Amino acid sequence: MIYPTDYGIIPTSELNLNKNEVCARLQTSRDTNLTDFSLLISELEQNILCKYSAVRVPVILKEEDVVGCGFGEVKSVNLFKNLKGCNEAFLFGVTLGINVDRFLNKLSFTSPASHFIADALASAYAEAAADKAEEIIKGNLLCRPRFSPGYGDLALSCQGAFLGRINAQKLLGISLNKSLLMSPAKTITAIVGIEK
Amino acid sequence: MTKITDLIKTKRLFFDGGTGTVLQSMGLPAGTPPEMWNLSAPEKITALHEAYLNSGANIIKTNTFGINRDKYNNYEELINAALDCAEKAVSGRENAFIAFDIGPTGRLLKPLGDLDFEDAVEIFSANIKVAASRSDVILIETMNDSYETKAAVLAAKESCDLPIFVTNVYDETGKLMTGASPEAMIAMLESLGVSALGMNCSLGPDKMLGLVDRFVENASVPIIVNPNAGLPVVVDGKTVFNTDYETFSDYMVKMAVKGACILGGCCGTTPDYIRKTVGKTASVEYSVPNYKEKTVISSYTHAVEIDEQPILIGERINPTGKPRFKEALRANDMNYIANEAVKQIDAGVHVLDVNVGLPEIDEKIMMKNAVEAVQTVTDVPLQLDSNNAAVLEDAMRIYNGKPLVNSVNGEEESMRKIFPLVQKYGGAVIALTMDNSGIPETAEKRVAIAERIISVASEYGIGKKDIIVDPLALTVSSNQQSALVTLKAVKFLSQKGIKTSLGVSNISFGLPKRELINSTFFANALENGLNCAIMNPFASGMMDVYHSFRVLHGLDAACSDYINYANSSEAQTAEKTAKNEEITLHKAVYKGLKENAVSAVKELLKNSEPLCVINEYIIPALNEIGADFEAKKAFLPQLLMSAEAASAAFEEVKAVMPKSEVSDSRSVVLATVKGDIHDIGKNIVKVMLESYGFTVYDLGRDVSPEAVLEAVQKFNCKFVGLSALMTTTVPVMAETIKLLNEKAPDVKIMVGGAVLNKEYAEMIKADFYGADAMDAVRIAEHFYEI
Repeated sequence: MIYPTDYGIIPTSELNLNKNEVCARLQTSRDTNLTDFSLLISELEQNILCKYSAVRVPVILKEEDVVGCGFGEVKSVNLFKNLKGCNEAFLFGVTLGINVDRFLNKLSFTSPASHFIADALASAYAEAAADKAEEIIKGNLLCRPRFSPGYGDLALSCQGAFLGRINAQKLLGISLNKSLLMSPAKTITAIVGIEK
Repeated sequence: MTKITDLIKTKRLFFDGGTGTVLQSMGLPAGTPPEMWNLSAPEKITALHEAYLNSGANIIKTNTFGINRDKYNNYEELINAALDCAEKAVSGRENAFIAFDIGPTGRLLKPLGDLDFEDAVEIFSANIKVAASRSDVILIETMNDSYETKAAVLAAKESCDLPIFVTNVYDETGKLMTGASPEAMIAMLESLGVSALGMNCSLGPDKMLGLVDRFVENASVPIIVNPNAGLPVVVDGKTVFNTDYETFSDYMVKMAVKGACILGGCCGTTPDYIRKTVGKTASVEYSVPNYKEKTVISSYTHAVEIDEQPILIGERINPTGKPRFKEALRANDMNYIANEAVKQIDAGVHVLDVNVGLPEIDEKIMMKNAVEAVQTVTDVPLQLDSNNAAVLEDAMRIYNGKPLVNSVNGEEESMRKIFPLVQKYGGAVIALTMDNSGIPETAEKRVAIAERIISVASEYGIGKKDIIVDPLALTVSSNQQSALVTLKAVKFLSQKGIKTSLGVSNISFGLPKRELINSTFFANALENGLNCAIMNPFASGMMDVYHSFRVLHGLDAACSDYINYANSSEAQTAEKTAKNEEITLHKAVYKGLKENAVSAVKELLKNSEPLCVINEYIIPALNEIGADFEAKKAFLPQLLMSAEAASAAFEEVKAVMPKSEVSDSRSVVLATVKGDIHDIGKNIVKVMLESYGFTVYDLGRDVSPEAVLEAVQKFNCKFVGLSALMTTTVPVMAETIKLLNEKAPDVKIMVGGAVLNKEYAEMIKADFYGADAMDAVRIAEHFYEI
């Protein structure tokens, strides 16, 4: 079997910002008009360089809570349930890039209000980026909902091995700090089980 | 054996190729770090080196890429084992060199990551100290961040005398992952004194081809190109790369033709790739890059060339004559300094001068803090400005890029202090044309001092291109000839190919309508060849001259910058007029319109007492939006925008208040606790408190318990707010509270953050729990009422 590392840049214009997601993160009503934030959205978009990388890996389900899927064995009942019935999975990472972090850092100095709003928007963009990357990677395959390290009982400590497997540092510029948080901050990694 | 730095002057050299991918083909299990074989299978590492040397490589990289003391307790043993293998392989061979290989730490440096710059330097130094005596060259490779690269280069300079080679990873946008362009990296690295530089890894040789042109155009030292064999592909569970050696070596021929001097490979390349590259490039003529006379400074993203285009250096980050700035320095208020930086960038400067000298503060610490803050919010190069060489040294060390250093002068002592710093940390220097005898009265004598400074600089290996001479603008009101002398000196220097800078506004001290004199003098200086102006970008006359000059000298293609400038000036004037007519202070605060709030408050203060403006306009508007927020008629974004508008209005009121009425008795120390970098919640509370007139000492994020205690004692503050978002950092919050309770028992502590609730706050012995930002304000008000 030959599986290339799937790597690419997603144009910002292809990221569909979910209004409900933004409103939830802003703790505001669903009637909020996003055009109120159009200047911030425009500045944020100028700072986004969305990249993803993915690999397709075999899934080995051992015991009820032991899963092997390309980056070593991990213990997780939740992931086991998610991948049950799958022989393969995609591992992917997607990031909005370091300039978004810089933009948010700048706002944290200059305007707490803009910082709060832009951070919420950036998080919603990261979700949009993950949706888009997943769509590209999956193609026509039927897949399970994505499952991220740190979610449920899947320990965040597997993040280092996960990032190594998708060559995230070299291809996406992702690094991990001592608290296991990723830089750039608006980055999502996930496992997507392939049903058929 | 010939030194590698001598050999590279006469012939093309070749690096080896990939290590990890070849070792995997030799049986290294997937997931096992290659460095493990230094101890468990050293014969295979030696065999790999020998295979590369046999294929024509001259330089082998030690198998130490992933080793550092952060990852391995036995890093010394692993490094020594790698060196054993390398020495065995080169033994008895002519012109075969060992490059001690240093890879990235895998962590991002502050402020974007959590690794301190000095910790990074120490990590790299520890490796180099083990290997230096057994290596021919230090190779710093696969770096995708300029700051980490600088840390590694400094570590090498401080730990050995070996030549330093550096290769960075550029992505398809032609930049490092953290944003640096090749020009910025060349400026910084050559200034730091590396012997060769270039690129490695990335996405394959095709992607590097265009970058080689930019290196050839800008670099003065030999250029290294070590690409991957394309992109990785997984075949039957093993990673291979998609560019074969014939295609790879064809690209390498093109690189050689363009002027790349040292060729090799990275991930996926094998001895066959190197053999083919060596063979095919044998007939390609060889030359090293010519010396570039470009004067360049850089930030962590881009380079600024000082040449035909006038360079504007913003002068506003300087406490001289600015009471509010001095107050910010005393309170360590980096937000204020950061805002001054951003406003100047928005006004159009290319470089920012940073001067934080004030008698009663520790300038060394303040300068470092200011440089870090300014580099967090802007990406322009900085001019580090101090009379104190020790202050400059600390700032130059932590600066991310190649700075402009302000300044040296013709006094022997000054040159002997400043030039060694430039030699070590890199930089271009402003040279003032004065010496022990003072400032000469003639242009000729000022030029003579400049030439002497350039001559002494050359003794330190600092080229004429990195000396920017300031022939000194002296006040024309005390000497009517002074402007003419300065202009003449600018002209002479320009004719000699020496770059110039002036603190333009000095010319008008003591005269009315200073901007008129300043802008006219600026125009004259530009006509005489001035390259850089240290100036106030908010002075419209100066900006008018700058934009007009560029048009009249053919420096503004299609006059597009001028047209944009003219249009935006007109639009701003019209907009301000329209807004000022319509919006009251109450409405501006309620609606969160910051600029309108400032305009409205200025207008009100003409006829109203400051306290009346606060109590009758600002506070009622804030209370109204606060009540709407609590009734869920308004939401957090609106509340915050109102708070920001109110804070801006407060600033204006405070500026005109009698000192006796300005009190910081209602003060709060705020911090996000050690280990936690999530500070949005803390920042929200800060702006809300400020909008209600509290003085807030914001210590930032990742703050140690000791730093909180120190601030409480320094500012004599009785109320502290602590925030934490992560469950893992709540214990540090408890630790901070414990320390405060022990050492400053009269201080009350409010806590907040997503992982906390009232019960947990009580458990860790906090005095108050702030459920949200409005709640925090109410608690602080209640505390100061009783």
